[in-house]
Amino acid sequence: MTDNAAFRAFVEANGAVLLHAARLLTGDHHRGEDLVQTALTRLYLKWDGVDAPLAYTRKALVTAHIDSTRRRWWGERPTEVLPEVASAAATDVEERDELRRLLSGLAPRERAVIVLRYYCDLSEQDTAATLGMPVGTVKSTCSRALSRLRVEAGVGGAR
Amino acid sequence: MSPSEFQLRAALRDGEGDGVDPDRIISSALRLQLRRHDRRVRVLAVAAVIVVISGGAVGIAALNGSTRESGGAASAQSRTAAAGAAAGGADSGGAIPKASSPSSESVGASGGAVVPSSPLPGVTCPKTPVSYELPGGGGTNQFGADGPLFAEPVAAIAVCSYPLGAASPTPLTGTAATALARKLELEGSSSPRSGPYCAGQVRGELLSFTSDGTQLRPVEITGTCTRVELTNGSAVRYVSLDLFTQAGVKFIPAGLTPGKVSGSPKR
Repeated sequence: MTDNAAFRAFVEANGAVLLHAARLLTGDHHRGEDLVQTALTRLYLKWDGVDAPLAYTRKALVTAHIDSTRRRWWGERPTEVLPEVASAAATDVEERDELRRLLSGLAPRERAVIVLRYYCDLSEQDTAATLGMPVGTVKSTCSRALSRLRVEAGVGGAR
Repeated sequence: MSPSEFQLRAALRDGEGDGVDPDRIISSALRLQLRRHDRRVRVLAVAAVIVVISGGAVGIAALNGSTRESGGAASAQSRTAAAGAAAGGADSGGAIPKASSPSSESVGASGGAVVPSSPLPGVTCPKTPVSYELPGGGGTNQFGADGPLFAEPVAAIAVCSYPLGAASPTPLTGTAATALARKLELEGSSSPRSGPYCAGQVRGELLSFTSDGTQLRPVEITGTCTRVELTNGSAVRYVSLDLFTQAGVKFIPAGLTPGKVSGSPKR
């Protein structure tokens, strides 16, 4: 019997972050909601056997998202030629909007790496474990995604 | 100027805030669990039905196989046994199409069928020999043609030769009976053999018995003096008349007018 109280406490503590991560992954408000509902439903059904519910849910989010992109492509295509930035004097808001727009142009795996590394603040090892890929692939994918986002990678990169 | 990682993080966090309703998740999960349970029950029910039907089919096939082996009478609809006597009829258990009770089976004026000195007392020849209507006219291509002529080991044989005469039945017991049965079973060909022309038809019926006296399915004997066809209603064998002659069984072919064949095998 699932411990509903414990599950409720988990969702209340982490639901917002997971929902936002789902929206970043999908690039869409409503699809993000569907994605987080799918992941949390899976978590609830396996609650008693899961030791690390947050890691489990992140993995479920990413897996469900990548599976759904294999079935259908939402019309987002990674572009080789990046569109021009709106203006040289972009405000912070515009810059954020531009980044989010560029983020939506990344491939699903690239986007997943960026979200896990820079939004969920996972290490390269944890990101590799969540995505089921080698650490080296995480590094190369992250580097490629950052160049597409035109982000200057800091010294030492993310943690 | 390219955005920094700090700016990237800030951009990613922008818009964060909406929570998730845990009760909605729980009710959704319970509905999914119920659907999966219903689907599992349906799959198990269908699987159980398939197992039952398969088991029944296997059982029926096994039952048909065992009844076929006991006398070749797997399908009573496909053949009729025109027995000389009234009793019996072919039932699906491979039963003998007629009884061999002396009271109903005595031969008429042409001669006594009961041979007082016969080692098979009480065995009589029917007035007319058995005649099987085989599916498709019979022959080597019919289903079961390669089956056994005798369902069980034979201990005694009585050969009735038609027209019935003083020599019918010719009784064989012991090694003579088993040897003839083995030869007919094994040396008989399942396809017709050609042979020299012989004007004369043989007609007979072979009655066989197990060691406990159980009578097996009668074997119809038809043919010419060189090529004889034996059948128990499904199995078919072609042998030379010599096999019978060597065993001491005499057939008097009918219609011995040279160049003429009296009638034809009933098919």
